[in-house]
Amino acid sequence: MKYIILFFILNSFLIAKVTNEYITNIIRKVESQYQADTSFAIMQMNIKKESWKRSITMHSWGKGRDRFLTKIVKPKKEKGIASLKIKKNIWNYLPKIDRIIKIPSSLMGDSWMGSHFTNDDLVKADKIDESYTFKVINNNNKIAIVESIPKNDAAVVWGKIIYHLDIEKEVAIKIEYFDEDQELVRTMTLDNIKFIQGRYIPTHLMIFPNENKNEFTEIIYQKLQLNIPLKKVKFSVRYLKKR
Amino acid sequence: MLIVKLAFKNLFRNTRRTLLTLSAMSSATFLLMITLAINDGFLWSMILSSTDYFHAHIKITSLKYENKKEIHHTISDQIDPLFSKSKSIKAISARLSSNLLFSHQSQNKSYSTPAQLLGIQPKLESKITKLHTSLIQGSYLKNNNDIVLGKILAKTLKATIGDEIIVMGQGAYGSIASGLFKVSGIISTSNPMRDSRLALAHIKSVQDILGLENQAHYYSAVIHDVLSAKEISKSLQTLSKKYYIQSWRNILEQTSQALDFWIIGQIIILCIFYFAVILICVNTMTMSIMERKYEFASLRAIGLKKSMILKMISLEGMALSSLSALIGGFIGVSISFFLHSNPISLSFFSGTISWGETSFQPIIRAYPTYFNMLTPIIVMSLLGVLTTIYPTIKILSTPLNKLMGDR
Repeated sequence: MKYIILFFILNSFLIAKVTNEYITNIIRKVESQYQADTSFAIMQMNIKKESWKRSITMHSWGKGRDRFLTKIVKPKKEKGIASLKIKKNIWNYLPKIDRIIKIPSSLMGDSWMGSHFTNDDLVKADKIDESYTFKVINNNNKIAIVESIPKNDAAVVWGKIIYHLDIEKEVAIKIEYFDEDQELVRTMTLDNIKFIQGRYIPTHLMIFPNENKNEFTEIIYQKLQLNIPLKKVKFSVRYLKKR
Repeated sequence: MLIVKLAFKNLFRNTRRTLLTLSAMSSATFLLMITLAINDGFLWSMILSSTDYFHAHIKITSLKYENKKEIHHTISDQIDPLFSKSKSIKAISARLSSNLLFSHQSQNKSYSTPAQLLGIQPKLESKITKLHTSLIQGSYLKNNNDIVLGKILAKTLKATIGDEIIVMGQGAYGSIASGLFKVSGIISTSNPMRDSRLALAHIKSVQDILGLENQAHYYSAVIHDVLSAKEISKSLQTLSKKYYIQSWRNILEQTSQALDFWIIGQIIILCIFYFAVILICVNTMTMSIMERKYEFASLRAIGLKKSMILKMISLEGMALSSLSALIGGFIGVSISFFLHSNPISLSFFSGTISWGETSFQPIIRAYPTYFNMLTPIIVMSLLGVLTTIYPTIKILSTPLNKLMGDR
């Protein structure tokens, strides 16, 4: 009997733990898990479309939630192409013509580097905790399913986001994105969770568009370093051309 | 010969009557001619604004490209002899197209917008469209890195002749496409939608940017008879299953539907107009014949056969209607050609109306064709003779004593 009582007491602690504030905090961690104060990553992005597939290797640097720089190192033909994000703006550097081009807001919904990610994913993904309200719709103490609805005044792309969270490791294992009509648009799965510098981080991401189940974009983190010394100059438009 | 002489003498005997009949029939001829020509002017401005300034008449793509417009679903930029040697095709050219991000730096500010980069073969393209004639500034494509921008696109990018334009987007097989051009010219096709989204460059440069060497997305062709494009595309389709062939009627479905609607409308207008013209002719002819019934009765009384009278009246009708058709035709052709080269501007009333892929200019322009110029002349010539039949039969079938006795 005392074990049953103990179980209920522990369970009530766990349920109490999964409050909205707690969930918001986890989602903030999920959305900025690759960033920290500063970060460096080597990533391989595999894109499979219906009639072609390709693989890109990139080096990425991040500073907080607002600054992000990525540079293609493979394939050779596209080596040196770089994307810089500062707050809500994105610039691309094109080494073939040695010019920088700014992505206009009208093209934020377009594909980033030919993948199933959009430019907007880069700009707004890490701000989800500020633009959405969260509600736990299912919780079995290991996995919590959280429904995210945009705030009334928020300018967002997704009509709803559903997170499947691993509560213990404080990471997302699946994220479903819905449009304004509540139709599922794409699903992201996250696995190969590794313990890096004091936190769990999924190092393998896959994104599947709902309209074509044969297509996907896969990101494999080959190396991830957090809180490493970085100069602010790396994240300026002028520096983008020098790289 | 006597009948011919009599018929012409009769025409000159009462000049006022002859002139009244002549003027009524001439007016009907030239008014009908101008109405048809102006109607066709609207219709053709609608068709030509789409075909002459972009689509041409026939589009030939690979079946794959038609099913899914992937950048790498291409055909060779060397025109297939199947089409280049076809007698139905007047001219043909290859095109490569992609939607890219255009950017221009002006006074330390960056202006970007998405637009369509159309790679063309300038010499061949000038045979299938009038894009080269819509140049309002600068020159057409001379060098490989030249780009010609639509008027509104240039304004959006704040770009002018000699400025540098950066293009970026997706190339073949997911590659990243980028290119640098120099603005050589600015075009205005009178279609605001096209002028805000279209840029022209050499096909070789676009192939290089997209990573599609010696490739094209489609061939555009012009044929001798625009209105038979649907039939010609069908007959070309039977020659090869490798390609998908569409006429402008398929591509510009809205315009095509409007054309069908317009033709039906024009047939109805034509019927109403001809009904009115027939009434005028019958009325004029009946009045002019009936007032001469004593004359015909006298001729019959002195022994002229009914068939001779019928011939004489028919000859009079033929001479009157032919002359009316000639006079009306001359006036109608002159006014129609004048309105063709000197359209009446209604710009004070309305701007250019853009509708789908087509546009209407606020002008009244006649478009003379063999059909709209010859139909009123032929119809009037026939009507003059036909409308004499009823009153003549009535006169000839009335007994002589009754004709005379009415006096």
